[in-house]
Amino acid sequence: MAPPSKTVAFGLNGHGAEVPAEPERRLVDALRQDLGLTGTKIGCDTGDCGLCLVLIDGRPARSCKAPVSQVDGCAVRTVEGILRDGALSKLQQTFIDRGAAQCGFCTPAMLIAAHALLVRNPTPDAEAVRTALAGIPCRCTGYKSIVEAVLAASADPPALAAGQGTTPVGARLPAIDAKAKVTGAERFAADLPPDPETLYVRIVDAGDNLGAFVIGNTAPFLAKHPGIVRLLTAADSPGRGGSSPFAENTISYRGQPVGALVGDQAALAAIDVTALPIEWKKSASGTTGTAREWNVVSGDTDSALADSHLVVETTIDTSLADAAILEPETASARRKGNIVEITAGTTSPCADRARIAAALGLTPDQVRIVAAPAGGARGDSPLSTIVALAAWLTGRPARCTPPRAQSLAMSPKRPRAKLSGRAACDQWGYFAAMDAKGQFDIGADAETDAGLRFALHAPGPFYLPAARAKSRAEPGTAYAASAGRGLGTAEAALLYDSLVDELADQMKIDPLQFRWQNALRRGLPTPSGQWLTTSVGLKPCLDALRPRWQTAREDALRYNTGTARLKRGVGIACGWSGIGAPARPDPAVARIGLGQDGLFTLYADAADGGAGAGTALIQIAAETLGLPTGLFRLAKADTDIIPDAGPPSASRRIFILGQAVRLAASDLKRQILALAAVGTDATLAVKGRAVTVTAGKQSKQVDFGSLASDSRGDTLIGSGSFDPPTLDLDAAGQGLPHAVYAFAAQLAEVVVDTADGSILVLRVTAAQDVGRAINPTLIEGHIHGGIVQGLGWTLFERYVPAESASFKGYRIPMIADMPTIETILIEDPEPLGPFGAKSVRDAAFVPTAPAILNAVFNATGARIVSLPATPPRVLASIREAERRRSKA
Amino acid sequence: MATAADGRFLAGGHALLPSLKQRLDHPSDLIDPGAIAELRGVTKAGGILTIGAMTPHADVANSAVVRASIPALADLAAGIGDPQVRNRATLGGSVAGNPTADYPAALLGLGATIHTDRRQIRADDFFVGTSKTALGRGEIVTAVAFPVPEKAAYAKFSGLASRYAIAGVFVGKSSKGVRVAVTGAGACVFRDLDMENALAADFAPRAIDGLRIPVSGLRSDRHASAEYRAHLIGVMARRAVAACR
Ligand SMILES: Cc1cc2nc3c(=O)[nH]c(=O)nc-3n(C[C@H](O)[C@H](O)[C@H](O)COP(=O)(O)OP(=O)(O)OC[C@H]3O[C@@H](n4cnc5c(N)ncnc54)[C@H](O)[C@@H]3O)c2cc1C
Ligand code: FES
Ligand code: FES
Repeated sequence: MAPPSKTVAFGLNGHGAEVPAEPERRLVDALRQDLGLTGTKIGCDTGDCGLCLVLIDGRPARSCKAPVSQVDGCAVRTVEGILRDGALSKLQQTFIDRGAAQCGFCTPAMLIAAHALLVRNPTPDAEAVRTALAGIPCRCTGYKSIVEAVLAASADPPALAAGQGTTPVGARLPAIDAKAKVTGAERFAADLPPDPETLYVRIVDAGDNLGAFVIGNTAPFLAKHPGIVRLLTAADSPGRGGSSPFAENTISYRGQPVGALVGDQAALAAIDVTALPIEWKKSASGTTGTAREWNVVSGDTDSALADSHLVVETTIDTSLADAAILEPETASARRKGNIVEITAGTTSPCADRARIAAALGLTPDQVRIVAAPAGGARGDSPLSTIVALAAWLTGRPARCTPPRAQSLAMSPKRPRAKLSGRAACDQWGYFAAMDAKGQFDIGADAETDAGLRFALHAPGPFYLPAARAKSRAEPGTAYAASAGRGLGTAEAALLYDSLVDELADQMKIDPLQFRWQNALRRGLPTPSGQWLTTSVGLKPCLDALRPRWQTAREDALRYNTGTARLKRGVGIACGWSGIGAPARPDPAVARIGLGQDGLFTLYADAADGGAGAGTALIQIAAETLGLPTGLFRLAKADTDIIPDAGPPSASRRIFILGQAVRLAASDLKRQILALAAVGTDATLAVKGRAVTVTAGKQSKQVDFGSLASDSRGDTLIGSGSFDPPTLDLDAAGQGLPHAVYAFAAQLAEVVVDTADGSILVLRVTAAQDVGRAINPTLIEGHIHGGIVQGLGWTLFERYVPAESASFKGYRIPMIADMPTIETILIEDPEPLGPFGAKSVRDAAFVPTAPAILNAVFNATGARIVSLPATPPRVLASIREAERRRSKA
Repeated sequence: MATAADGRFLAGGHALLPSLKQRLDHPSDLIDPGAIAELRGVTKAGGILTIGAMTPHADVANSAVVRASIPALADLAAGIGDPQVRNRATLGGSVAGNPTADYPAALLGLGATIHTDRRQIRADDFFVGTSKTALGRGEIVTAVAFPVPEKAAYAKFSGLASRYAIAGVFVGKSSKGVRVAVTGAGACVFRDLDMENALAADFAPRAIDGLRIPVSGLRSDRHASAEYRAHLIGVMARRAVAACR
């Protein structure tokens, strides 16, 4: 074999590139580090995810698996190289138009695979697109908009869905950051070049150890490793009592950080952390803390159950699940005098600031968070705090990208739940009572609202003469709990909708009709005693599903007579989701500045991991001011610039922050009108450095170029804040927990293989009451994403320590799992929401799991009572149902 | 070719690079046979289809020769992983790297012969245990020779993130008899002789109906119990027999 040459030369995006020929160097590292092309992402680093896709001689290949030595003389193309003559290619444009890039982390790989397909086959059909994109995960879009974007870029594109609005609100405006996402220009936290002075951080975690631990004398260890600058432990974090990022004396969840080594990168990589003098006093469970309970009680449930015509019951359990964010966590921090600045992909910069300040014993204004774009919304991880502490104490820039396995281990999880309940109806199929219990293994951090949200939603979006819902958050399991999508609410739906389905089945009433006749509507109370007076679009959702329901049920019946092994089924489920934090203040603040340059800047915490809040908020501001959206820009999500939008929680941004934005825009308009003094009923137009204010025949110019401006160049600033009206709950859970609820209903069509127990979801039809669709493309994107995430939770997702240490061991829905999705938006305007809008994210996820399980029941007569519904479990349930049938 | 004593063979790089990253092993030199053209490609002579060890799965899936002579093999290759994996991962890497992958079922089910730089090994003698093959240190697979069967088919059940089989069954029928190879279900690919006998007497799915598939030796993990795997072997075998062409 020839001696290795000193460099490897290859074609790169039409130019030549040369990198050192080290045998172990991977192409992805050469691209990102040596050549500065960070559009190619690293998702897993272990060859499982496909997010590092590039073209090698026209063929898509994982660049983390290709040694640079293998591309010698080849032509390599990355996402940066698919522009056409310096302009966006048709494919990139259709990705933007269709909303195919949400967080954008999968986008480069998707574009590369699609580009290769279109070169090979300029007129692919949907199946060809799905085949070409197989193997690349997307956690946001549900794949639908991506497939549509590729088809739209083909030589023979299908017609675009109509609905281009003329006003800002209601328009299918592309996401404001979409262009950066389709060109590879978007810089995620790991893409930012490190400062040459940077110290790296290696987190020492507890692994599978739980219980007490003791760190011995570390001085000899540190003396042996001159590259290590310091070891951080709980003792270094002045904020004790829960705010420290490190365990103190006791491990309360698996993978909890106990310390962090700070030093140079090579030294850290070479270290054997098991050599650290840490003594683990093994114990089965670690978590201390107290259980918490919640109740919602209305009416006399026991007598109602006793007196009713029919009672059914069930028990369901779910598994620990991970958010499986595709972007690996990265945080970097630097100290500037008495201030520490942190850059990380986060969706809650304001909440992070408070947490980090507490852990470091600083005041919030000593902490500055600059939110990098986040590849998905992640629950708070200790990473940023640890890196901030390292920078604060060493005075040098610090940075950390923990390995995927560690990140998965320490990131908060959707807790396991045990649900049980009974439901009863009268002889006409009207609900008599619901009795629901939920127990959540909340783990180390009992901060989540899972239990409360479960209790509030467990009776379901139905009118119930009597209801009792109890929930309990039980410490003692070994994981930190996260705010997962629809956490508590989706578990509630799993329970009530399988009970409702069973009641309908035994009553021989059409399941859709049964739900319809019991559905909440305006003028009825919730089980919390809250009389609903505004937007309650559940019945319209059910009505919208009727046509598909009828044909699908008939199709399934016909199909099932023909074949033995495969059975089709159709199921339906309803979802509801209270918007915002339950029964406590949940305010948000926004500001809008009119800059001397003639552009409006929106200061609002829109960091949402690609959900498009910033775009929708701009549409709200533009509509309020009566100006085109192109005049608006979004301020960076930097805690020095944006006002505190409150803690992030259940899908609140459009409803709560959106209303704050509308109020800020109204305030600004008022100020402009006051300057023009032409009355209050006026329209605005911006030209150059002047606003023209027109009221009737009168027209006046306000020359803001001559107005004084602040340090950011703003001349006038409008502010708004909004806190939805809620009331405390009493001991029986009665009160006004949520000002507004979102409603949805979904219909799932499945085919079940009764020989092996596998489930294929063929189609989901989703009807959702969104109040008002501020941006239909974004909303549909959330609904698609919610459905496919719901599908994953139902069929695949289960976090098992050690085994789930990589994407290989944690199955999420891939493009081949994607059903056909049809969305129907119902607009029942909510007076409290901006232009009638409600939030959509959680409610899109909530009905999916029960709809699928009810469809499996319809197909096979088997009720699945454990999530995920894996083939062995499904097969066992089918056999059990067959045994019961043959006995009967 | 093997210049360094510790030289490792780098094919698609799919299994090796991640382990390098994790520093599980430190080959002093990576031998890249990508340049060695004769290890790549498909030839047919007599009743034997020979595939070079460096042939990526995609090339096997798309080869007209393979499709015409052993369509089951082309289908099997087309069902491995995803398009990106199929573009890079190779027959040799698959055969040498993991005795529970898809290809080993075809090798065993067709009674193939593994050609190395030193000798020829029958598939029956090649797969010897968990992560183990009969390959010696530094021994390199150069090609695999598949006798063309009368008919054959592969049926696998996956559902895993990687698309590896929870249980996969390759059935091959030739003048020499019927071979049934099971992969993914145990620690190593194996033949099911009971099924082979039953199918030799009556080559139809019903021949398998009465058979008990032994649970012992099958894997039990969080994806599936050994009992479920045993059940799947029967289901997949029936599907493969029904699909044979
Ligand atoms: C995401 C993903 C999904 C996958 N899904 C499947 C699946 O569904 N079914 C399936 O069967 N497989 C699957 N695989 C495995 C894949 O088919 C390959 O077997 C694997 O990637 C290794 O092939 P490679 O050519 O890249 O080999 P390498 O990674 O280069 O090598 C693997 C090992 O074999 C050795 N080796 C390679 N070539 C030779 C040779 N000619 N002679 C001797 N030793 C050699 C190497 O030294 C190394 O130890 C998947 C892989 C990935 C990454
Ligand atoms: S980063 Fe290369 S496959 Fe995941
Ligand atoms: S847009 Fe695909 S992962 Fe976020």
